Amino acid sequence: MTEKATVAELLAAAAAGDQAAWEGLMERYLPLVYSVARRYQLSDHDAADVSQTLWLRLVEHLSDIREPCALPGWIITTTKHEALRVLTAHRRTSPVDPVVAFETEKSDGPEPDAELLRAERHQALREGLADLGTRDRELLLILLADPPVPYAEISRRLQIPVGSIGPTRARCLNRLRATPAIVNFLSVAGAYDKGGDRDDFANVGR
Amino acid sequence: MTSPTWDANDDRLMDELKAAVTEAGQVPADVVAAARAAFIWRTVDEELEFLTLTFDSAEETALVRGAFGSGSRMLAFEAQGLNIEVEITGEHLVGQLLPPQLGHVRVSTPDGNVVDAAADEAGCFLLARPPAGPLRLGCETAQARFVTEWMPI
Repeated sequence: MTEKATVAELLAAAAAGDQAAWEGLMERYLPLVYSVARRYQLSDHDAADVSQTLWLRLVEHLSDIREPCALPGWIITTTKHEALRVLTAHRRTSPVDPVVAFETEKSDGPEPDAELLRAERHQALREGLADLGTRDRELLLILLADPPVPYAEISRRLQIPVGSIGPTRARCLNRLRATPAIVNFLSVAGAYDKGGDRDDFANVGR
Repeated sequence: MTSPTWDANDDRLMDELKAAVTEAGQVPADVVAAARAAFIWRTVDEELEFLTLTFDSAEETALVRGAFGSGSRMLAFEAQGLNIEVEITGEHLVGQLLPPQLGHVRVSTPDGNVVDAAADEAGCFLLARPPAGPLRLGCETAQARFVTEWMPI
């Protein structure tokens, strides 16, 4: 399984029993699943259960997924749905804060869901980063390091003049914006606002 | 329109990229391990008929929540020719097959543990509740074998 395997290839190989392809799907989507699960003020334990449930469902639907582009949408919708159910079920066994309950129910409505859009945006950025050439990715990751790496050190490690780092960064970011993941994300961004429903990825279900 | 502001701004794009990359490093090891282990279920129950969830007391609004005792959860599932109603309490799963019939019911956990019990002539069954984590119900009747989706409880 190459690093550049497409989602369609990963799904097909995983459906055929390839554990490495399953790991590829995990590497790609686990941060998305977990960040969505964490969004609903679930305990660490409940968020872990919701994530586990998502992966147990995905493994049974691997060969049903006809449209790989729909996978992130299905992941977000399913994770959100299960997280809200766990939240409600567990809240019934503990004192209810009416304000929190109201906020939670409200956030499940057709309102723009900024947090979910953010999770989707982050997913697109990680995929875009993975789509970049190795050198571009290396430069961006070293520039993101915390604590920051001095330009002199970056220059030494990546063998580019200090004066070129700024302009190179700008070119890398433009190439990032041009990756399929980001182009696709920008073309559909706002689907939540328009009342578009990401639930319509019924291809994934049985 | 919600085009992110980083569409044209390099510094904002770098900030958000950093958040996205950081997020990816924050998935706990046990969550990664559980996702990896889920793969063993790939072919386990593939021949079974799916029972679809038709009712979950956790999805009812606050106004009707009081209809069920606090601490228990009601679920109903449906498949061709079979309905299952089950109440999950702190320690048990108590339920009934409908129409009433003999059968065999089991509850599975992702680590492969299974608790099972017979359903009597009235379709009634009682199972010990697994300690924690997602679970799924399975059922075998004279006609067919069924399974529900996995669900966190």
